[in-house]
Amino acid sequence: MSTASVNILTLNLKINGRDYCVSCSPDASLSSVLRDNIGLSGTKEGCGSGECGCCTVLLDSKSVKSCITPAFRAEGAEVITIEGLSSPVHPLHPVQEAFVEAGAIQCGFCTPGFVLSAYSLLKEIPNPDEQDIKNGLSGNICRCTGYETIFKAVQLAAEKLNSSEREARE
Amino acid sequence: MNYFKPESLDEYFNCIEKSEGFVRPLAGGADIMHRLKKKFLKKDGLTLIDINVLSDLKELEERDGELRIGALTKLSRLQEFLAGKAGYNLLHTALGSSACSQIRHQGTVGGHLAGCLPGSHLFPVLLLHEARIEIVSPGGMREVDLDTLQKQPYHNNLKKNELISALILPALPAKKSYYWGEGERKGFCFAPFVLGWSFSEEAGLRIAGGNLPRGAVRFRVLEEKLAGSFVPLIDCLKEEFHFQEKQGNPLSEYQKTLLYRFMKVIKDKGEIK
Repeated sequence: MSTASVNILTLNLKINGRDYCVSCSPDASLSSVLRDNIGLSGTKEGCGSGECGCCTVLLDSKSVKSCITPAFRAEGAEVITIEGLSSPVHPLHPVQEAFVEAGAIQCGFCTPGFVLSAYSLLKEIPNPDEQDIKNGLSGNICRCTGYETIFKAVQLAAEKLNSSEREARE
Repeated sequence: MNYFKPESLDEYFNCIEKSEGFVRPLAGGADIMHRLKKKFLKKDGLTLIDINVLSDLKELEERDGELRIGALTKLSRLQEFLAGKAGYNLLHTALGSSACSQIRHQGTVGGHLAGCLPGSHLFPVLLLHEARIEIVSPGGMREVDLDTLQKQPYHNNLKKNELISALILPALPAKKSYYWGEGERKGFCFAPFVLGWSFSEEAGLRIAGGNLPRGAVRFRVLEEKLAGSFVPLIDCLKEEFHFQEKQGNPLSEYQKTLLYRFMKVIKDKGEIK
């Protein structure tokens, strides 16, 4: 860019494999751009200040809290939201399947954030123990489930991902 | 609100010169976005300077037995880099309990230091390391001890045209070291107290704590009194509390109790007399 001051930014973003061009103010958060400019409302905004993790998305495969991520930080990076995790062939990603099977969803508001945090954790640690899971999900808050079923869902997701990887290798 | 995105340090300093009002360099952005949303920062008259493309600030290397950690190094990258590295395990542990994975993926070392966060898990451990920071300005570069950076929580001693370029981190030559954060830190909820302790023949006894009224400190009175003396622990602590109070940095009753408990555990292990 340049050293000229600007009040409105034009950003070229790559979200779930698609290119978007959006205009926003410099202090616009990534979550507001995803929801209001692009219409991807799967990303939830809970506290809006980085506490609850409902707004978690992946920025270059790493989980971040999109409500406190400036939208311009996503320029040049690959953003994945909950909508980008599934595909036409697999309507639910194995992590999402595990959440359904383990009954880790009640009201569902925090679920997109938990699913993406779990996805990011399993990318970094394919076989997490209970402490790894607790640490990996410590940035997400659920007020319904009591977390136990969520931890079970992540263990189940790890098994699913590892077995599908084994099958792919064989 | 104004926004600049300089591509070099020279351009950065040009932007600073042009800007009036409150100017904030922005790296990961988590802290500034949080403060804007909570209205701790006013948008009117605010200038944000996006420094993410300044590649000079991204290097992470070992130099003369020390680590030079570029200010734009992500906390999660530093955590990966320090895994299993001798002399840095205490810092690795502190990073693991600092905030949450999302914030560590986003937050940078420079932003964390410049923010002078009161409940930082890293500051006390960095003080044990006797870390230094490298500061760039149009006049050149200088190095200062990390503890001179803190003015008070959320405020640093940097001048308007100064920028942290790197953290210089000597290894902690500790045979034994402990780290303890009271309470779990999640998101932006701070631990009420963070304590670090290390001992080695060459470096002696080092004790540091965080989240005091003026930020993190080394408890130097306690270190001195405990090193090789037979003064009862409780008297050493009283002198340290008195010293900190005189410095305008009083510990709360809760923090005093926690420091006593921490030191008592170390004493019961036979690490101090």
